[in-house]
Amino acid sequence: MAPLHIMTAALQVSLRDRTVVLIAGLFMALVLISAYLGWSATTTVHEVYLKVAEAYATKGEIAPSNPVSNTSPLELLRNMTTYVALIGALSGMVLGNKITSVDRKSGVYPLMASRPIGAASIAIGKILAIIVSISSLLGFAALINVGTFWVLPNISLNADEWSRLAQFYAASNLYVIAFGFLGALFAVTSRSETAALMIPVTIWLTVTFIIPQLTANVLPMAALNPLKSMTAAPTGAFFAFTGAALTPFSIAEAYRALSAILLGFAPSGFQFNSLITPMQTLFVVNGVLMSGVVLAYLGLNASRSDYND
Amino acid sequence: MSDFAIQTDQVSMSYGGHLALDQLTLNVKRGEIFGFLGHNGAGKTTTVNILTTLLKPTFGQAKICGFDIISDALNARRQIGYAPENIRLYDAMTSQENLRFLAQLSGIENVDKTIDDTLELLGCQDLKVRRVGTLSKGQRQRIGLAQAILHRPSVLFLDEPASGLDPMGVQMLRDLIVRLNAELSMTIFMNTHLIGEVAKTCTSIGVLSHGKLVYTDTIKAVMERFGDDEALENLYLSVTPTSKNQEVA
Repeated sequence: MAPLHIMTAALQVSLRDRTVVLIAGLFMALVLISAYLGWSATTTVHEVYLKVAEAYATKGEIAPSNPVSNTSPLELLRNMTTYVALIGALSGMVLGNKITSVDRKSGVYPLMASRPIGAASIAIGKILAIIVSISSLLGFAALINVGTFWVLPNISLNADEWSRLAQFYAASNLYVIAFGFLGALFAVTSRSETAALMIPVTIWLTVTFIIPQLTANVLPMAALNPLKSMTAAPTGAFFAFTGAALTPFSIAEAYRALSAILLGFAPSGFQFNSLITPMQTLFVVNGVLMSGVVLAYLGLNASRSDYND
Repeated sequence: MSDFAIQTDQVSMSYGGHLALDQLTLNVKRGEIFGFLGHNGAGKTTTVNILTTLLKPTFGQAKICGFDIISDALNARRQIGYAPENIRLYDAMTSQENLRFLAQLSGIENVDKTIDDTLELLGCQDLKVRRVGTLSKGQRQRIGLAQAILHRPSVLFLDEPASGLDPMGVQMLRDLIVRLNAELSMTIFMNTHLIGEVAKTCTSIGVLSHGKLVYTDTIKAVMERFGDDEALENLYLSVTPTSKNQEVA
């Protein structure tokens, strides 16, 4: 039961933190804007098509097919991959940091550690809090998208598309949770509160922009673009080595590749250049980081848990 | 059941090359109010951190009510309550929410009733629904004390409990400590450098200097031997060398 109590308290405190509320609100606002833009663009195209079809009909000609029906409706979500990779990952890091740093900052950690519970219980409670908070955030985004698909004209998702939508959100969840664990890992291990936030941000920038350059020669700005980044990795000894060595940990690439495949905007013949699948990469990185959080708590000195700054 | 609430056997702690605690051997009987005196940096907080299982000693053994603090840490923790110096809690939560959380971690079943009873015992029911961030220093100390006694521990560790309190706050704290000891039969281990408080509150004392226990006895014996409060201060000064290399007289 102790991990559940720790999770509840961590969520209670985090929800009252202005930074957390602000960044979660920003992510949700972006999801809403994305949904509105998707709805607006699709509705406009559909209305224009209806007028064109009517004009064709008055001339006695057969109108071409509706462009709204010609593309996968899931493609409308491709901007979500950028939002998740940027603001989603940042939200995850902030949540992970706040959920774990609050005990050290407030001085409550020694009180928790003097209770008849093990450090592993505290770690599990914090991990649950990270998973629940991030899943709630992504769950809200998923609900908005489902609602958008419901109200869009001339669009209905078949069973396979609903399944791929669910898989996309599962992948997004894993991606953001990994950054939550990253934020938590450094919030527990760092002596300084500033370093606790700056180190994960630096790793996030490296994972998003630098590693894709080393593994597949993806230009930094192209890494933000869900279409341009979907290019085949160049050949050569350098990329053969860096690709094999780094791709299993290149979580941003794995997430982008998986999203493109699931949402149907990957170029034809596109393949993820790794020994393991993108979903496996997400699981591996999450597993490694989660174990890191547990080990960090086991090694945390409760009598010296205050930050230096 | 062990007659001793606290037993330490040659407990030592070193940070890097610095010996913070040097072979501390100490026995505190159940039901005592033990005043642990010492200058700043003497090793008092290190001792409390070790006895509350927050810190593993580099050498030696310690037991709380017969439970080893390393090999049987969870049972040792069930016996202790701990109020650190400058108690801090979650500022964004109310006193009740903070107490509920810590009560749940202590495995208390009837949480709400226990919180009400504890706040009533400490005379601070009015602080129950107030956010901790809005409380004064003295009020925080009371909520800090409340969290430490929620589960009615056998041994209560207080680290510099009077630190930063005004004279009225110190008086109230003194009365509270005596009541907790008398009404709930708690053994109280109190770190302090306020000699006057020790004379008025404690039943026995230990004096720590540069990590070494240099004196221990009952207050009654000290008073019989030295006469009055002022004599206690003289005793403290005589057994506390000004430098680590100076021998105790």
